[in-house]
Amino acid sequence: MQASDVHASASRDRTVVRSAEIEGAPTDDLRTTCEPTSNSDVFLPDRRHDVMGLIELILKDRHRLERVIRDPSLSAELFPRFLAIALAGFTLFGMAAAIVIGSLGVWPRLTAIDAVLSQKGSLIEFVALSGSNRLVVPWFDGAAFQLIFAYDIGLIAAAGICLPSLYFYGLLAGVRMTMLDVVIHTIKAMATTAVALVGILPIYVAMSLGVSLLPRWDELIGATLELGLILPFVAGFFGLRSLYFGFAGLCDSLPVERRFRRACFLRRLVLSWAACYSAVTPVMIFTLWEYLSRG
Amino acid sequence: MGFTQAILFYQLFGVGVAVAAALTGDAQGRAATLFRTATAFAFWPLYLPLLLQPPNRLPPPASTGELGPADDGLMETIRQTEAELDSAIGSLDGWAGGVLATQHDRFAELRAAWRAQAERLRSSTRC
Repeated sequence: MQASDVHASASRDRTVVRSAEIEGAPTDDLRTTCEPTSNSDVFLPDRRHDVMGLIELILKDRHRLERVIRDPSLSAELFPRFLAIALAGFTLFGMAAAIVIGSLGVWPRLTAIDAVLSQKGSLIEFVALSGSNRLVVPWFDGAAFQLIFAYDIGLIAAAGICLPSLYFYGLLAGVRMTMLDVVIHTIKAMATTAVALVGILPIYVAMSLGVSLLPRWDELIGATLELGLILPFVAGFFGLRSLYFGFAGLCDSLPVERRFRRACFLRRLVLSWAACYSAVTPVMIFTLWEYLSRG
Repeated sequence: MGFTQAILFYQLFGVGVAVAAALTGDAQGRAATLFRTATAFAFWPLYLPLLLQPPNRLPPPASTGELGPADDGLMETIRQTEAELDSAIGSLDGWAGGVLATQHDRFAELRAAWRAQAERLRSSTRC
């Protein structure tokens, strides 16, 4: 039998199965949870949920990713993989940021938040590196690793701090979800942010290298470096979008008569959580980085 | 309490959660267990819900035998669809109980129909 015949038979059979669906039931609602969006989804022989498979889903098939993470039996294996993706992406960002900052011949000097509040100084000041090989100096004295560590830990641990509020927001909106569901959705958003960050990174590195070739202009260099330090938050919009769609999908567990009103409320709550996370994370990263750079 | 003391307490909890993660991750490979343990130490608040989850939500142990008809991609799709259907019905929370009470036979028919269609498809691909 030819493959095309098998496929045609599969399509016919699928039609039969669909015709057996409940008459009079809200089929649109069934479609949001049960029905695949593409033919390839059903007859894909190998459903890979390894790290590369998940990256592929993040990039290419958001709907299927949402369905995969809603399978409770997969939570235990998906969580470390999403975490690995997030960590790898943030580490790559940290390495690139350290290279870019070093290549511009400067390194950030951080002042503790309480000292800044009492003396009205500057939180971050870029000071010129000394020595002939300025690019490798931050790597030898450990400053580059402090930056990488602070971003890695800060970005993910801040999500841990904000997690209970997201769970509470979900309950407030009436969505049926466990704490583990919240963790999986959050870490999926982190992984999405990391993937987006890795995508943005080459553009930023090329731009920074372009700036380093220009005649020295301190304001431009400062602006480029500051943009680099907030780059994870720019990429964070992709993660926020992913988190929002994940939570919006959970609205199908709400009764129909309340669904749309609650979805609107949930949307606002997710945005509030994103604002809360965006406030906590820079403080977390900065405090960790400043603490590590003391020593 | 200063930042150093806060980190110390955080790490203390981290050690406990990392040990728990290491003990529950025996079904995976050594590298996976090592990663799980290390990340549980650093990000223990994220691991806590996973470790406290009742065992029935955890994945079933991986089968070591040859893939039978019940283990192919089609069967996995059916199982997933059934799980989603059950979860969708369970989430209705009784608001449509009266309507669904008359539809139980049809759900059973639906399940039987897609299993039968899967078997038909499987036998046709074997030919």
